[in-house]
Amino acid sequence: MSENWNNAVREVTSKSLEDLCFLIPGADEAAFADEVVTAAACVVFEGPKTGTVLIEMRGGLLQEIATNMLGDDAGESHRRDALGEVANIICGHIVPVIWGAEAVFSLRRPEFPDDLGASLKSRAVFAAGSVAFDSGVADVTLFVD
Amino acid sequence: MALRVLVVDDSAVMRSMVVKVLHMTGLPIVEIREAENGRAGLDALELGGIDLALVDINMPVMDGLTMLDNVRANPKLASLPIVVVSTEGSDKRIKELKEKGASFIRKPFAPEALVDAVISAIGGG
Repeated sequence: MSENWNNAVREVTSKSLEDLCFLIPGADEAAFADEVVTAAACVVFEGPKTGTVLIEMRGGLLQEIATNMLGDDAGESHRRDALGEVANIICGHIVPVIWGAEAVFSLRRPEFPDDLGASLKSRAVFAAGSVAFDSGVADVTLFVD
Repeated sequence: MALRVLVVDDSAVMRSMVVKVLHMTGLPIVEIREAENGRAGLDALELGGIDLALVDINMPVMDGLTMLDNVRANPKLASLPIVVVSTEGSDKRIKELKEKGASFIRKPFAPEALVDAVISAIGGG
């Protein structure tokens, strides 16, 4: 893994959640060290490179994202929808950062793996980064086929 | 000019956010309709009365690019202003959209950027 690409994953994740959900990163990730993954989504991208972006949510981050996007009435289906949209946006932004704005990538619709992405983790990681917010942590991992 | 807007996105959350932002923009919007894919979007357009469509790319049933092609091929709808709202923002994709007469705005977006894209699409900018 290149530390440059890990930084790019963190920067795209921070900016996407800040712009989309008004969340300010910078909380202490260590405070969430014992928190388990509560939700995950992945997006497959296809183009000059093919791969998958996996986003995992720890702590109460997903609830805060959904509430910020929709208001207090965000139920389970809305939380899943919001997570998929976040995954889609992070994937759509990280891929051109790494492979250039000239490259055309198609993104598949977000999927929500029953195993919260555990089976993906047998694959080689191209880049990964975690961003902590007051309510929890977003862990983003990029796999390339 | 009173605007009747169609928002086409498979994500109910994203449609809701776009609708909220549209209401915040100060644009003269009198009606907003929603559709969850390109096919449903085309059906809504064929009913008439829409002045502008905001269309996602990545959707089931019919994606936004296919919907755009269908709109441009339909003499009754061909001149409809369309803003494509998507995470997919490669230079080539944006050029392709411009050639098809669509404006583009990348998710996530600020309300001001949506206003600019709408004004550009309806020919005011």
